[in-house]
Parts: sequence; structure tokens; C-alpha cells
Amino acid sequence: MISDGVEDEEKWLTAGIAGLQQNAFYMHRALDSNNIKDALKYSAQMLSELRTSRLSPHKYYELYMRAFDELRKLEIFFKEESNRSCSIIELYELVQHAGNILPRLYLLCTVGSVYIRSKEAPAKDILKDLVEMCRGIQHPLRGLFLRSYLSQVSRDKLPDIGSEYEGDENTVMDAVEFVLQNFTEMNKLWVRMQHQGPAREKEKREKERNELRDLVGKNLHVLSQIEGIDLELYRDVVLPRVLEQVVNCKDDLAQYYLMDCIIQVFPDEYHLQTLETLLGACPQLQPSVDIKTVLSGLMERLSNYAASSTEVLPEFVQVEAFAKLNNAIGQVIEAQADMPVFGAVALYSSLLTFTLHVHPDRLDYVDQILGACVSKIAGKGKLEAKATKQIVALLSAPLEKYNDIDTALKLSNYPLVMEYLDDRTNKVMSNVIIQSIMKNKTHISTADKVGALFELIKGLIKDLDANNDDEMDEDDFKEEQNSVARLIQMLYNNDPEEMLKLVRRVQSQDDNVTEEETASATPKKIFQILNQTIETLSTVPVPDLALRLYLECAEDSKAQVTALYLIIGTLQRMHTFGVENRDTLTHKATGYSAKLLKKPDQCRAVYACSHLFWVEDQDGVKDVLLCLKRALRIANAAQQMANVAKGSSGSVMLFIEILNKYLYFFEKGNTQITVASIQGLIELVTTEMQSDTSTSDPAADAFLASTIRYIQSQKDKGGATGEKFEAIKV
Amino acid sequence: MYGARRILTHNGDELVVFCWCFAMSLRRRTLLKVIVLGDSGVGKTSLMNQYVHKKFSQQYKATIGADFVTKELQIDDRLVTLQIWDTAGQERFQSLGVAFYRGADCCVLVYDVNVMRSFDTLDTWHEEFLKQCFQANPSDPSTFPFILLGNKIDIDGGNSRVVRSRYAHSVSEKKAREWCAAKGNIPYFETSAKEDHNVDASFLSIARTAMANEHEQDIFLQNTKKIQQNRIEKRELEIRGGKKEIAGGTYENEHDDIYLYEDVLLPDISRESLRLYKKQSNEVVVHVNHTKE
Repeated sequence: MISDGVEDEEKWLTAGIAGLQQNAFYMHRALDSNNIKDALKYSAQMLSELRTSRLSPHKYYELYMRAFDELRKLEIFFKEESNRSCSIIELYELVQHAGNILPRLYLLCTVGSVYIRSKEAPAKDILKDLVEMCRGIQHPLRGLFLRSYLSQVSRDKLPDIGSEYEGDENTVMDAVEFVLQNFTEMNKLWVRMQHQGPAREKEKREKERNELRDLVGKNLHVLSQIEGIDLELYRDVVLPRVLEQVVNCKDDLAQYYLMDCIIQVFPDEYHLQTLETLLGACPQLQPSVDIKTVLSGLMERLSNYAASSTEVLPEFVQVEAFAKLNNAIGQVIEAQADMPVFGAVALYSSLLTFTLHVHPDRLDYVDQILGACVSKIAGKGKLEAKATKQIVALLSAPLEKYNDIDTALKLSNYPLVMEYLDDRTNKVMSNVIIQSIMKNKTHISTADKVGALFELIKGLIKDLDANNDDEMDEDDFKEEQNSVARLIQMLYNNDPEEMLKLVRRVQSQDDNVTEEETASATPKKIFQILNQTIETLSTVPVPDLALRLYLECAEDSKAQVTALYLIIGTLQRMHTFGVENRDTLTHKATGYSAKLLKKPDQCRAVYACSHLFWVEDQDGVKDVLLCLKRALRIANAAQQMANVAKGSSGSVMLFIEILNKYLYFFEKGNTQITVASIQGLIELVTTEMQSDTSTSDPAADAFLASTIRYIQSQKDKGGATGEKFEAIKV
Repeated sequence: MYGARRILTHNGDELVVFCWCFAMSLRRRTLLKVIVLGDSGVGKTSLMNQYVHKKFSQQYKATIGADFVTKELQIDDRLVTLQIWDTAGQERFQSLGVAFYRGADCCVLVYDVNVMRSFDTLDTWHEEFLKQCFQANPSDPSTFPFILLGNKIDIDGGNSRVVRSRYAHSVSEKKAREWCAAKGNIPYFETSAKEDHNVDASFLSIARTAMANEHEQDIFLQNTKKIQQNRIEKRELEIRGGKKEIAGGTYENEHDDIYLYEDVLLPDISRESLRLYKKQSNEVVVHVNHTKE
């Protein structure tokens, strides 16, 4: 037979409600005619609907609520009645004539609450009687609801401090005992529920048990609202008794839920003062209990408490909260060998949040936590996604707290934790770090810090995992690179020396910056660095940008010259470009060289460019000569200008330099550089030096002499070189 | 005061109307059910504790499940018992569902004026309440009375709200009032449970609102066995204060203490066609339209 459970249940609920309402109707009639006997009869019949076993907790609760509402009207009647014809004591006896136990007990609780209110008997006696009588119901679902009813109707009649029911022999202890007993009984019913019924319905039963949990937890809420429970009473009686029940029931659902309840319903001050007791229970719980969530909840609460007012902070120090929590976490991790890595990290993450709130000055605590984390994740191999997510949370917390990367950089274990992140997560974390820096406009002011920082975010700078073939989205990559680039703005120090170190550190973090190099922050060094920057930029296929950027930077002509030399030098050493790109770059460089402000500068830069055309296996032979001739033309022009201007000339030097270039390419085997052209050049130089107009220049003399000497020495070498040079007459 | 208390339908085509117009003596109590909803930590329990017990605790203690406290008060000439249901703001402490919403006369929404989020979630609480409460009830949800309380106005040394609302995290009174206007002119109060500011006044307003709504929830329809007596063929039935002949019987209720009831069978009445209008405080009209489905 196939039956639809849900539909059936709906039917049963409807039938239950119908029966309940019909009897309630007659009950009302009886109440309206002051007919106690009928009123009790119909109310008992009405309550009999609660004897069903067919409803799930949710549906049963619906039925219960209807009965509950009706009972309120009955209660009002009892209240009024007891002032009239029938004494409350009589009523208390009368309701016990109900034939069935469940209706009887509901009625008893209802009258009982009126009884307490009448104060004709001590509250504690009635409460005790009621809580004992309820033992009569051992069916878990029905028992739980009945006891929850008892809890509800007695709630405002507990002999709490300041309550009208307190005094004489009624003390707050009676209230505590009553609630604790009800709690204990309810928990037993609740735990026992799982063992009832066939094994195949276990899952359903667990679901139903879970739905019923608040009925049990409610008792703890009632306890927390009893004003007479001061710290002492809580520490000495309430907490130990509750924990005893929690630990001894050996049921993971109950343990998890009730621990959570304890943490949530009782005030923070109490938790702080009883940390040891509370935490002491944790390792005693079943291994399958999700303690990390429980402890995280506790730490979160305490963190919020600490954040609420600085006045409470000394309390934390006084009770050594950090040490106790840290210790408890260690024990729990040890006790629960199966705890997944993310669980442990989550615990440490909560502890970290706690520490940041409570002990913002204790960086050592933070480092200690990170260290503990490292030892937890070390050797676990690849971490699961959940764990890495937790680690990101863990690493983000100090950044958010201190708003200052400096502080995080001081944490020695911070980079160690980052080591355990996979490539992707590492990048995510690196971005978090950069964003934090940008948001807080933190200046990274020393080379060491830069080093540490770049070590942290190396995921964005280097390809960490060479085997990673994940196709990366280009936009993502750009975004990443942009964020790193933005970071450069935050590297700053007023002191040029330090700034230089810092920039050098950015350039290559692997190189150890030697003392010599950092001796002085000369412009040359800075240009070298910029050169490297441009070098890097040139690898991006926008070389124009690289050059223009640089020329914009270099404002004066001197700087331009230096810059161009660097550019030329760089280009010469780079072999990454295709023919076309290379041509563009080379011609641009030559073009820029020829546009320099001073002729000699133009000349030197242009002949330097000749090297760019001289590429092995490429057809640059002709271009080299063209370039050198262009340099010669500029040298001529320079010479003429000098003649016009002062009659003196430094331009001979240029010629000698160009001669040297000729010799260099001649020697390298450039066929366009002929012996004749060299010969011509030597004569030109010699003529020039002997002319009247020129003043003697010892440097030029020496340069020429050594150039000649060089030619001679090549001749003397003999062999192919000797032969080649033999043709040159000097 | 008269009330049509019980109407039971049978099998769709026959309806038994149990009517007894009982005179509500001045001594008799009115029970008003009020549900308090809102995010965790906005101060629902604190407001109740302040109102009912005149006490306040700074400590945060989560509420588990739902339960109520009662408070008796005199409104005009009526003695009213407010049954105020405190609820868990944290969802995980509401494992049994919200069956206790049933029969509510008024819903009190609470938010923390210093926490934007608690204001943002009001929509959810509002909707959820109506959804749960009216899924089986055809009466118009838009008329159900709500009240909004903006709690914790004491925080920040009682600085003026204007100043504080400059911060993004706090909610300006203007914004709250706009929200209330959009929801059908919900009354709004700003309170401090801690300093007992506006607490009595707002709960008094809650009681009045609930009373004005005093629902006709006692009328319900259900299927039971056919009752073959007192069949009437009248197309319309009206019950008013004073004398009225119904189904061959008469009843009168000119005296406060007299009540009586009649079993009446009406043919061909669909559930939806039955409506109850409650007019003034001392007159109840049961209006039955005989339209076939």
C-alpha cells in the first residue's frame, strides 16, 4: 500500500483540529454556563487530541498551539472560579479525575499555575508536584510538549528574586531546581527519542528530533532570565548541572545544540568568569560533535563583548581568556583526531578575531596563532577549498584590524601560512593585501618591508606553479597586474637613499643589494633602475609607450642623453623582438638620437645606434654604414658650427670615436666597411688635428695614438685579422 | 457586546451556525495576542522586560523558541490582558516553526536604530509574518495591524538622531517613517528599553491597535456530520443586536448577562461567501451571501 505520508499527516492534523475545536466549542458553552463538570469533561476531550502519535513535531505544534489558546481561556475561568464557588485546592483535585493521563496533566498544569498565583500553597511545593507528575508521560514527543507547557505556564510564577512568589520558604534555589529538573527530564526524553522506532526511520527521527530541540533549549533560556541567578549561583550550581547533563547524555545532537544554547543564552560576563568549566566540557563531548562551531560561537560572542566597551577588557586579562581558549582549542584538536583541517583553521581564525578584539596590542599572540596554524596545516598536502577559504579569512583579519600592512609584515608566521595556499588563492590573498594597502594608503617605506611585502604577494609577481596550465582570463590577468602596479605608488620614502634601496628592491627582490651599490643615490643609478623598468615595459608589446614614457620623465637634455644610451644599450641586448618590431624600435631610437639638443650628443647617440643594426644573421650590414655616415654628417655639422662659433673644435674627438666604430665593424666583418673608408677617416682626423684652427687637444691626441696602436697591434697578430688590417696604412 | 462565535460548515452544502451573542460584561477580560518580531539583538526581550517587569539588563541573552508574558491593563472601560509573545531573532532557535503566530491581534516589529541591517530585514519579517499568518486565512492581509518600534535610541549618549543618522549604519527617523507609510501607515515609535523611553506609550498603542482589530478568529469553518434540523431556506441571514427571528426560533439579548445560541442550517453556502462584519462595539452582523460556487 502506497500512502503519501505528508498528505496523511495533513488529514490527521485536520481531523485533530476538528475534534479539538468541537470540544472547545462545548467547553466554552460549559464555561459560559459556569458548568465546571462539563467544562472539565470537554476540555479533557479536547486535550485528548494531543495524544496522537501520528504527527510530526511541526504539525503537532500546530495542534498544541490551538489547545494552548483554549487552555488560556480555561485558565481565566479557573482564576475567576476559584474566587467564587470552588476553591483552587478543590479544583486542583477535581481535574485529576480526568480519565487519560495526558489531558489530566495538562489540566493539572493549568490549574497549578492558578494555584501558585493564589498563594494558597508554597510555589515550590506546587512546582515540585507538577514537575514530578509530568514523569507520567514517557512518550518523547508528547512528554516534551507537556513539559514545555509546564515551563510556559509556570514561567512568571517562579520564586525568583524580586518576584511576588519568592519569600518565606520559597527561594530562587527552588526556581533553579524546578527548571533544572524539567530540563533534565526533557533532555532525557529528547535523547531517548532516537532509540525508538525502527532503524530504517533513523534519518526521519533525527530530523524530528532536531525540530524539537528548542523545547529543550527553552529551559536554558528560562534559566538565563531568572534574575536571582547571580554569577556565584551560575558558576556553582547552574552551569555544572547543565554541563553534567550535556556531557552525560552522550548524544552528539544534544551536545552540540545545548552547548550552543549555553553560550547564547547566558551573559558574556558569566562565560568569562567560568571559561575553564565551560571549556573543560568540550574535550569530553562526543568526537562527532562539531565543537569548532560551538567554540567559534563562544569566541565570536566574547569578541563582540570586548568590542562593546573598553571597560570590559581588563576582565579578559584577569581571567587569562586567551590562554584558556588557546589551550582549549589545542585540546579539542587533539581530542578530535578526525577534525578536518578547515575545522582547525576555523578555530584558530575565531581565536584570532578574538585576540584582535581583546588584545590588539599583543602581536605575539597573533603570531602564535598563525604559528599554531602552520603546524596544523603542514604536511597535510593539498588543502581542501574550505580550508583555504578559512586561511584567507585568517590572514585577512589582521589586515582589517590594524589597517596597516606594516603590522602584518612583522608577523613571522604570516608568510609561512601563505605558503600553504594554492596558486589561485594565493593571488586572491595577495589582492586582499594590496587592497588593504591602497585603502589605508599605507606607505611602504623601507626596502626590507618591500622585500617582505613582495615575498607575500609573490603569487601575483611570479608564476608560482610552472605546471599550472589553467587558462587565465586576460582581463583577470590585467586586473592583477594593475593592482600590483598601483602598489608602486605606495612605496615611498622621503630619503633618496632609502628610496633608491626601495626601488632596487622592487626591481629584483632576489638580488641582494650590496653596500657598494647603495653607496650613493646618484642619478646614474636611478637611471639604471629606470632603464630596467623600461626594459620590463618593453616586453609588453607597446614599446612606443616605453620610450615616450621615459622621454617624458627625462626632462633635461643631459638626462635624455643618458636615457637614450640606456635605451640603446637595452635594445642591443634584447633579442625578444621580431624583425618588424626591432626595426621600429631601432629606427625610433636612431630618430630620437638625431633629435637630441646638442650636435655632439646627437652624433654619439647615432653612432651608438649603429650597434642596433648590427645583428647577426640579419641584413643590417648596409644600415650600419648608413648609420655611421649619418653620425659623420652630424660630426661635420658640429665641426662647422664650432668653427663659426669659437674657432675651436672638440669635434675631432667625435671623428676618432666614429673611426673606432668603423674599426669595430670592420673587424666584425661588415663588408660595407671598407679599408678605403677607414683610410679616409684616418686622414680626415689627421688633417683636422693638424689644421691651424684647431687647438691642441691632448685627449684627442692620446685617443688617436691609441687607436693607431690598436690597428698596429691587430696587424702584428698576423693570421686572418693581421691580413685584414695590413691593408690599412697608418 | 455581541459576538458571533461559532460557525461550522458541514460538507460544503450545509452549514451550521452556532451563534450566541454573549454579553461581554465589563468584568470580562479581553485577551489580546501580540507577536514581537525582529532581528537578533534589537532588544525584543528587553522591551518586554521593561514593559512588564520594569527591569533592564545590559547583558545580551539570546531567546530560544517563543513564549509570552502577560500584562493586564485598563483601556478606557475595558480590562485587557496583553499576551506578548517574545520570539527568537536567531533563526536557529526557531526550530519548531511559527505556529504560535496563529490568532495574533497585532504584530510588533522591532529594529535597532543604530543597525541598518536590522532595519533592512523588516521587510522580510513583515512579509514572512503575513505569509505564515494568512496562508489559510482569506481575510485581507493588508489590513492586519503592525506597529514598528525603533529601539536603542539611548545609544551614543542620546545624541540627536539627526546627527547620528549621518552615519551610514544608523537609520534616520525619516526613513523609518517612510517605511511605515509605505506599509499602510504603520504606527511608529522610537524607544529605549534601557531608559524606559516610550515603552509604555508604545505598548499602549499596541494594545489599542490590537483591540481595534479584535479579530473574528473565533469563527471557523469545518466539516462535521450533517445536522438535519432547523433547515431554513432564507437567502440571507443577519444577526443583529436586539430581536431577530431566525430559523423559526427567536433569541433576545437585551440584557448584558443573557446569552443564547441557535443551531441554524443554511443550504448552499460556500466558505468564501460567508463573511462576518463586526461593526460597532455592541453590534455584530453575520452576513451570509448565498452564492453557489
